[in-house]
Amino acid sequence: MNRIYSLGIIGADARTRALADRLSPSAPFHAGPFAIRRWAGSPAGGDGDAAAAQASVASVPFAASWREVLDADAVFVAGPAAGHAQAVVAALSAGKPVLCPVPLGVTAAELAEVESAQRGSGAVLLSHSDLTASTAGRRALASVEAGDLGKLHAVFLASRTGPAAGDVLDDLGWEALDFLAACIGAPCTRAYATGGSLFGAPADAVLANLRFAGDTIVTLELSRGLPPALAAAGPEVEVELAGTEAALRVEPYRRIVDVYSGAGAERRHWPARPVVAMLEDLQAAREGGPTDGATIARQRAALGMHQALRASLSALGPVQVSA
Amino acid sequence: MEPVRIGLIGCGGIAQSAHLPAIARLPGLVRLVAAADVRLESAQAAAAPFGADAYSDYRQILARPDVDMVVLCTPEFAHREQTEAAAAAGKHIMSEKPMAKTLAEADAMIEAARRAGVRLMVGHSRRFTGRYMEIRRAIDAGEIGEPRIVRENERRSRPPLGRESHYWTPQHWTGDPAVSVGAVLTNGIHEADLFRWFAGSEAVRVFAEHKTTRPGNLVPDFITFTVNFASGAVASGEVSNCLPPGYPSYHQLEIFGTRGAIRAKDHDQQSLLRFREGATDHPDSYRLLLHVQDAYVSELAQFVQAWRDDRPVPLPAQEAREALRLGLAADESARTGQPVDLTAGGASR
Repeated sequence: MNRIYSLGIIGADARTRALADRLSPSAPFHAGPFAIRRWAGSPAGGDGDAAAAQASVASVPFAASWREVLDADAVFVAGPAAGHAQAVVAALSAGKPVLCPVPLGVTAAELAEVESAQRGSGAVLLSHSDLTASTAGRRALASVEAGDLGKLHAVFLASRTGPAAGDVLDDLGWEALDFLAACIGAPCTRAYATGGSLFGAPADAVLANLRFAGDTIVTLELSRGLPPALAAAGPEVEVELAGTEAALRVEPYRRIVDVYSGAGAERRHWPARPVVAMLEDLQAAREGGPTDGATIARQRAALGMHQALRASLSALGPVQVSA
Repeated sequence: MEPVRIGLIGCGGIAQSAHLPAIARLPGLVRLVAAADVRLESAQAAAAPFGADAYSDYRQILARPDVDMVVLCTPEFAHREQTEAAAAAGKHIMSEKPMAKTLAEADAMIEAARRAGVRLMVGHSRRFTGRYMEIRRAIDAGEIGEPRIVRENERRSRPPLGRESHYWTPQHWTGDPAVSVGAVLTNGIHEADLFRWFAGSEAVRVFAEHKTTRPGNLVPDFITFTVNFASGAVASGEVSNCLPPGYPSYHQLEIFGTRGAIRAKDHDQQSLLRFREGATDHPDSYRLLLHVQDAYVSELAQFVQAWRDDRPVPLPAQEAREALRLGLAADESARTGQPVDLTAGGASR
């Protein structure tokens, strides 16, 4: 019989709500050999009440201090991005495997601290987004890595939600930029962004163009303009990769992958279960799976794009992206 | 009332696929009496089904008193000369898009038509397409509130190997850098026009990135551009001709407003799909929804009817001029790597 690993959760957001659903004792589809041991709010604050509420729903003890959850077998870090690095560094330093949806840090200094802590502890560190963890997103990245698409000419990526508070570049941007870094694999050299308050909330839309070394060009849209009828179905992410050999269109929210190549067209429907996939990766990593090297490098690339887009919004012009 | 007598100038691809069928579908309204092309055999092929005359020099059409109007299906670099000559000959003019190569040429065309008292319309066919007309109607009716994001991707496959004389290849005029700036005007002019039409506002800034994707091509066959409008709306468009053979010609239009959204995405409208080696098509959505053929019938019929009724043409030439201005600004931005400020006289070529 497999051993059950205990999981400590730091922070609360939509993803941890899904996690709780999956790991609740009454869940119809229990996600692997994990059980939540303890739950706490983020070190960045602001999500304590939500964390307590989610812990209560999941019948899990709520800890007043996030450091109390570090006694679990592994730690899942969520909540505000500003609290990720601190929690990740503490968990790694305690020798715990860590699963932290992007970003691992919001500054270069934070990413350096995370990298140092991981190297020092040797503990497993995994960072995903719903997009990179979804079956459809994985299919896309695997196709790119296998060379099925040939050289990437262009990428279109749109990520949308209904109206909500929060800066859209922070809330939707990390996942998009991490995916771009993962699938393009070359440094972004120039970024242009415009947007602002298009739907009534501050910073609720960003439309951008990015150019990468190797000449891949990206069209990016991050927005909170979905009307209620569409927003009710949840966030939308749409990706289209145009390569020399094939094109691949991914709509994880519709669970669809379309592939167009010289051989014709193929449409596949995939399950969307990113949280389960993240846990499966964590389990695999504990058993000798992947390291974090690519993750940190990817997040540095995403951070560079994030900072450049932010600067471009202010400059009203393109910004060269620093390595 | 006698049908309007048309002289067709330029008998290449767009004439064969769109304008000649449109003329054939309006027998009571129009009649083709002459066709001209520098390749006489093309003119003859176009003219024969209509019993019309064929010429290798368009000026032979203009010399005929029995020609009421001309339809220009020639490249944009020829439009100014042909429009000025047609106007001087008293012929009304419906021209293919883009209007011209430069704003100066476009202005000269407008002035020539004004001076001669003839009508000039540039056929931006998307404005006469059923699904886009319905979208514009919905916007005008306030159904989605104020447009805030307008997004259109137009994706097409690259020419298959072995078809060297194809759009954007050096052997085709659209691929000759001496006369063409590439995708931004050849098909991106549609997006430039639709953005203005749906945003209902004037563009104030544009930024673009472009590239040449097919080895050997000399003009950009891919462009993505982002446009800020005076209303605060933002448009984003990608025009791509680099998809692999087998990729259908797909359009994805989405408009997000303050109170709703409208989508017209070919991906979602595939009631009938055909998968074949090297090709996928969706004839139902193409014919019934994008409805290109009907668009050309509609634009010709509306142009002729407006002139007969002594009303302004349904799409003023100034609109095509402004779409050209936006397209040229996108090209300038892509070449310089800098945004172009359209309020400061950008793209004034």
